[in-house]
Amino acid sequence: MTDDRDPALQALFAEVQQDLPADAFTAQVMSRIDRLNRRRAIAWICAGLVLAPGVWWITGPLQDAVLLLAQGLAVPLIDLENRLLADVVAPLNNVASVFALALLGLRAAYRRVSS
Amino acid sequence: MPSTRDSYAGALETLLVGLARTGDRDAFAELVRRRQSWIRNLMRRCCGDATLADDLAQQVFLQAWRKIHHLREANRFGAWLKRLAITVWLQHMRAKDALKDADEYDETIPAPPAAPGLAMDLDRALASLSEPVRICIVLAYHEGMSHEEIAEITDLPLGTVKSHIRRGAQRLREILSDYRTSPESEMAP
Repeated sequence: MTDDRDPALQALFAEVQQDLPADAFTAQVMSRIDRLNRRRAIAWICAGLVLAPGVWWITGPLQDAVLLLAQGLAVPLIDLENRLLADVVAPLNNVASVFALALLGLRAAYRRVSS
Repeated sequence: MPSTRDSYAGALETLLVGLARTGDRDAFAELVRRRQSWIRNLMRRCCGDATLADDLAQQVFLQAWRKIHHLREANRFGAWLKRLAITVWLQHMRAKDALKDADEYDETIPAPPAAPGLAMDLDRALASLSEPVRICIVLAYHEGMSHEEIAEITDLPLGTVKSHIRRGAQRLREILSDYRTSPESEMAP
């Protein structure tokens, strides 16, 4: 403690510190915690019940969309006759790599502008 | 065979905090048992009303239970709990919109009826201070926090904190003059 304090006031504050009985207070706190936990559990169950039909309903179309997107991104940019060469450059020779390069370029440009 | 409560009674606080972080209810109950007196006393000095103080102290422990998994260093539990307690108190005061009309003390606040005992007299004297002055005084004298720490935790400018503490202490000295018995207590403001 580095600040100037009135020692008489400090003594008064120290003197009024009471050792308060713990049991009843602790029981009340834990009872409130139990109620809170019960409410949370009920809220999660309700949310699950509400969301479950929605998730079931959306799963099919979502799966189709993801599959379509994956197929679109994997389309080769250049058709190569040589099968071995096509396999080697496959990670770069697709639509997804163009998107990735574009995003990296945008990120670099943003950093240059903002710095 | 000892109960869980008995086995936790002698455990290190850092161990209890670690267990409470994993959701161990009994470990948290032991932490409440150990720290309740300190937090309740702090709240009593802040609000001067034992019932409200206990309710706010319960809110502090409820928030601690909700957030304890965010506490990275178990050995900082005490400081973390104190910060939670002060935040709960400040939120309570903001809800009452009291921090904005903030100067020294409000003499229009009627003092509670006189009651015997130093604690009651001190709480009555604290109640005569405005909320910002009171929180600064309580944090300085009850918690032994430095002016910088108080400024940081209350978001008040350092100069304001110093001024609040100086004037609040002066006011308390006037009200509690009957309790001053030793010559060294005669301090400059």
